[in-house]
Amino acid sequence: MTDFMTFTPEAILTILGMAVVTYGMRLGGLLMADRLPQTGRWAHVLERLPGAVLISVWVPSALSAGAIGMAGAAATLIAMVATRNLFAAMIAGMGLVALGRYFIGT
Amino acid sequence: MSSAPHFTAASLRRGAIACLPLLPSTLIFGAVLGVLATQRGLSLGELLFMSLTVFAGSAQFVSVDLWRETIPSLTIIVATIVINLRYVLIGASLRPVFRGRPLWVKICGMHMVADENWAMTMAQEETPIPGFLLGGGLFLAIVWGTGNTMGYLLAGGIPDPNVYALDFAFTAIFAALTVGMWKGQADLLPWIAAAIGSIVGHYLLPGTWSILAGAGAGVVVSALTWKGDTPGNQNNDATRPQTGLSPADGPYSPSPHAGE
Repeated sequence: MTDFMTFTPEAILTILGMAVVTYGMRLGGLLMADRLPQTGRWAHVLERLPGAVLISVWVPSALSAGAIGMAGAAATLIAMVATRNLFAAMIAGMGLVALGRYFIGT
Repeated sequence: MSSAPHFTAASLRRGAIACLPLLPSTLIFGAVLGVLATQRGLSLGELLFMSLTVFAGSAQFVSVDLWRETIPSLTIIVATIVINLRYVLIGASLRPVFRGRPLWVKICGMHMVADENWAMTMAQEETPIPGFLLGGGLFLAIVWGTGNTMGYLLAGGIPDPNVYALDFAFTAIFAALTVGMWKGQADLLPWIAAAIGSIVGHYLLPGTWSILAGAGAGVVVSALTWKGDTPGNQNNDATRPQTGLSPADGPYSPSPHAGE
């Protein structure tokens, strides 16, 4: 039987726990950053932070996808630098990975 | 202080449209999570409740996978903390978007923050208002929940995301957005450090610790390479329009903090 609308207290509490810690880290990070100086070394670090986090998100995923994943990431970067078009860059990377998997496997 | 509006209909719409390329992948992965939930004994209502309150894809996959009839609550919450620790850094990096805005805007604007709409927000040439971030988040939440429902009702028969490289969409979009985040040479060494740190972390550490290893390396190197706030070396976010590589990022572009 498909289970649509059962809500057990244990499930609700677990999910709320997950939600509270996740939201707490999101808002907490922002409020902590608000207390850091607006100029100087910390501001410089905060300015570098998005790039550093983003790189650390996708570089390991490209590695996990194997040789074709690394080639796909390289194709995405090259296409983005060349065209400055997000969609074109995405298609270049995904297209290469899809073709690579189809013709040579993973 | 900023006098710009916080959440306008136009900014919500632009944020949603920016995340449009992620629709197929988000839908399919949402469906895969829906299928997993049927196998682990969550009800559809519980899954959707989780998707809207937690709203973090990778943590949800791990949590639903750990789900059993007797729920290992503590394990799930600890896993969620570890996987989502990066949101502390993501939240911190959103400071320019929320600068000078009241606390309630921060409280309302920081919930629907996923990797995707955050990255899209940070890669904009002009710092967007919080509505852009929220619009992307609401769009992704609707697509994510729709995918969950489809997967749950079909309980299988979902196409394998790997076949169409839909799993690679996230990697590709993040890589492409990184290019757009380049602000000048000050980024070079921290970015190299982040790449090396995340690669080392990928091979040596479990799970998503590689994100923190890479980000940590980037933070340390950027702190060490700071050369002072000289006019030729404008690094802090209060003065960032002057460092932009693109002409649109120049001093003439309207900005939410134009009055500062």
